Amino acid sequence: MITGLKRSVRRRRLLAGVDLRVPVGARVLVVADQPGAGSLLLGILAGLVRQHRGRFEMAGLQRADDSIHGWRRRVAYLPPDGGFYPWLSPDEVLELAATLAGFGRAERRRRVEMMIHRYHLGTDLRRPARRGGPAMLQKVGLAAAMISEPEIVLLDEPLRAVRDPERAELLSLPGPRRTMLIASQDPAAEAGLVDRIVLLRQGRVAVQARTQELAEQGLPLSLRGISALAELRQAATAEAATA
Amino acid sequence: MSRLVAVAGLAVRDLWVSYRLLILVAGLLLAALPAALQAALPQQAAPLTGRLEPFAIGLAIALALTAGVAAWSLSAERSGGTAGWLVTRAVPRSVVVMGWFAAFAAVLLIGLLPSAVLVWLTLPLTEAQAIDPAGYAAAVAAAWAAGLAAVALGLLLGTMLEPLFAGAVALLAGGALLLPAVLGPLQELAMPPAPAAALVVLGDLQAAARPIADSLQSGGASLAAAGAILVLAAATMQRADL
Repeated sequence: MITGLKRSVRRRRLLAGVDLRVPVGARVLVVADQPGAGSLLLGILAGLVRQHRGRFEMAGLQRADDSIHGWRRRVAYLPPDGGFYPWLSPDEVLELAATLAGFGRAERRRRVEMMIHRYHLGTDLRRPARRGGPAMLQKVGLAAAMISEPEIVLLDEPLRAVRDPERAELLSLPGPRRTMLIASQDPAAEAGLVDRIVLLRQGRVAVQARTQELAEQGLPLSLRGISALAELRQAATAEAATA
Repeated sequence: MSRLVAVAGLAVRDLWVSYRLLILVAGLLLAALPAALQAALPQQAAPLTGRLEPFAIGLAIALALTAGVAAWSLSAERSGGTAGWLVTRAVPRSVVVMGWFAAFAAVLLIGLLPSAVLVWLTLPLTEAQAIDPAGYAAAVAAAWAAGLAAVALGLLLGTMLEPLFAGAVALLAGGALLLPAVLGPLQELAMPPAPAAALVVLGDLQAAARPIADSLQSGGASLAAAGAILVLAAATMQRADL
């Protein structure tokens, strides 16, 4: 739950009072009319960027804590480029992520093997991840984020260098109670991955709806389509108020 | 503790992979070169105090460079997202700062020890006998402590400024605090317990009246300053965007 979140970057107000309630298990696409606003929202939720005003609650907690068994294991964040040191090998990244998550040696190995298999990391796991190109960096980043089986996953422009259908397969994160927020500037690419959409317009939530509603209105999953839905909703509200 | 070790290990590897570690160690070894070369030319030998002075000046420059690299490294860690990657994995922000500090402390030690040994070994026998080895070791240890304070200052700037700017400001600040003391214009900086006094003692070891006591005072003050600056850096990091 997010209440009144505000944040400016270089005097541009990207978040001007965001109020949002995301149910457990929802797959939400966050789209914004201002570039960077969705990413900023996810950065704040991940505890990396401070909000100027407002508060939020995730996984039952009001702020990020640093305990190994608490918030950090339950919430995962994936930046566009993976985020880790690119000179680390995929094996080292996963091992490090599992170690920092507090798993014992046997459990670490089991989880690393599982992630290597699930995220198609191949067999060449001892070379620096950057040698595998941007796609490898992003896949390793996702695998590292998922190694602790988090309840909430925050994905900022995820796996842009990975082509469909592999991208769709990798981002179909299993788990009915797993909540996922994707910040994207290319909403059409997220079709099939999300069941809800949120549009941030001028830093506020202009519309929050199910993707099904878009389809019912015959609108595409794009910034234009979502904006049109917001206008339809606004018109309907105004009409109801007049009546 | 394990998280601190993990972060420090990553920091050392990052310094190694990017050649920054080599540059820092080379800088510290180069600081010993003028003193060593002077000793290799006995016919033109300067007085003993003159032999160690270039070493102290070289160290002041190398330590200022280390402060600059520390500032640049932590700032790049913030803006590059790797600090964020660690923080989203239950590594406290203060541990990120401390991990980098530990890495630079180790690098300083790796560079300073052989540098000091090289200078000692190249001193002519008669002159080496005139210097108290314990005084020399204390002065070198105090210089290391002054380096730690410079690194802490660099890390503090790295939590606040953009990489290149942070590096430049830390380099200049480190140089402004250490160089005037060894070059002579600012006597206040050269008096114990000022951190830079360690370098002055080292540069003028034979003439120093109480080299061990002065070095201990200066080293203690440097460690206290490093601790205080690190607390400040951790607090600033807590508020930084990653």
